[in-house]
Amino acid sequence: MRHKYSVAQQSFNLKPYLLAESVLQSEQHFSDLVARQVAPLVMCIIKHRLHSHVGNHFGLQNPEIDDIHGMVLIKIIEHLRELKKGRYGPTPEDFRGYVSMVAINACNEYFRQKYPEHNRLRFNLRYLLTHHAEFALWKNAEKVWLCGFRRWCGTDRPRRCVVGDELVEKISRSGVACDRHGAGPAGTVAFIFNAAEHPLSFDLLVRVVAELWQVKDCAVRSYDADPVLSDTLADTGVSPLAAIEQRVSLKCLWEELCQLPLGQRTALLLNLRDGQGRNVLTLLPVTRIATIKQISQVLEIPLDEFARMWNKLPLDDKAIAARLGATRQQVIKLRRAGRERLHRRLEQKSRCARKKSAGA
Amino acid sequence: MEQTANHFPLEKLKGYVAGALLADDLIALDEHLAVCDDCLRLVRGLMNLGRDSCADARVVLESEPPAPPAHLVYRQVESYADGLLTGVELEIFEAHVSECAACAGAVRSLREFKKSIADAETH
Repeated sequence: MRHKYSVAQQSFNLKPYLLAESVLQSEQHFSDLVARQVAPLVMCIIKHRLHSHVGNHFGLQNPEIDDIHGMVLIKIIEHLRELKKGRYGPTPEDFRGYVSMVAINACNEYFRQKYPEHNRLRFNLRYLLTHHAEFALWKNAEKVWLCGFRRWCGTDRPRRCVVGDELVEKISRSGVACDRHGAGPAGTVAFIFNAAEHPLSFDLLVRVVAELWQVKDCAVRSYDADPVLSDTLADTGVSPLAAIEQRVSLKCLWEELCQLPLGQRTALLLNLRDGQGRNVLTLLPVTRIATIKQISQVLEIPLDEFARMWNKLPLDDKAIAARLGATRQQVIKLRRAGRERLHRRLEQKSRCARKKSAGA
Repeated sequence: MEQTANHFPLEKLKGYVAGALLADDLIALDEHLAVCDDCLRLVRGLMNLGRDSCADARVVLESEPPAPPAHLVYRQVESYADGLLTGVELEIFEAHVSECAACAGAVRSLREFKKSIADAETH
């Protein structure tokens, strides 16, 4: 697929922007970085991802692509501004990788939000194809996912003359009930493969099953009316950054930390720093919120072992990963999950406290 | 400042603040600080902590860059449905599902679908 922009595989050079001393120079480098490197890469990724997910079936409109593009750029611009302020520590080595990840996640989020039922159907059919003895799912030389009976596995090209509408019509004319309850999932898929007589692309199978089973995605509801939808939005009104910057009660923080599952508790507590990079755990004994012994119990680490560790705190992710028998990435995910939960619960407490004092 | 026989020597308190105490001393001092106001006051002074009551102590945590939303990928949902997730992976999975309605829906849907496959094969 050709795109308007040709984006070479190179890392983005943030240094001119980050090191520029004058505001004018800084803004010039910033504009250059965003317009000539970030924006084209993001557009390229969005067009490629959404085409492979959505194709022509859902009639993806340009305004939608532009919306997603705009949303991703806003996030990245915000991140660049924060990097300039030095809030996130050292500059990420692979900023290009970060930009790609934000764009890909935005596309997945778009598809997931706009077509949740189809997204679930994809998961379900993929499960069936990879777990049922009669079926198979494989990639051909053109990296297209194909599916069919297991005996067809390895066949390179899908039968191009079979289109979804033809297949649905053929099956409907046969009079066989291919609803999910009658024929069941395996029965329906087997019937489709028999009707096709050749491997199908996975996307086509999903579309045909969606037609037969009448899988429809509702129009987007009002976010205001639907708290569930609004909870799944990527951007909420409150920035976790802002919440974290609030001065939180150490006592509340400790109580909430104790409630976390062990992995999240460990990933957070052994690495907990304040805004000046100091180990927050050292404050707990001297404020009589928790003794070192109590902290070791909460962490489920023997006291003598924890006492030997105390002077080395806060630990880095590699050390925490070794303790948990996890990878560094998993430690980061655990800590992130813990912080999100902490943020939510501390916000709730703060809201309740404000309501109480307003009512008093 | 003089130290009575029941208190810890000032050098030990300084060692505590500097992060230089051995494990046995640390454990003993930890027990002592829980009950001794004088030593606690000294340590707080050495740490330059204010005079706020301990109950009012507040802290600002270090910022972390906000992460892009990372929903569950198919492999994770499949592994969970097959009962293959354990330990840290399971905790990460469950933490996400408890916060994300979209992924919770996908997990629920796959579980029901798996059941419908099994039911159809039984009948």
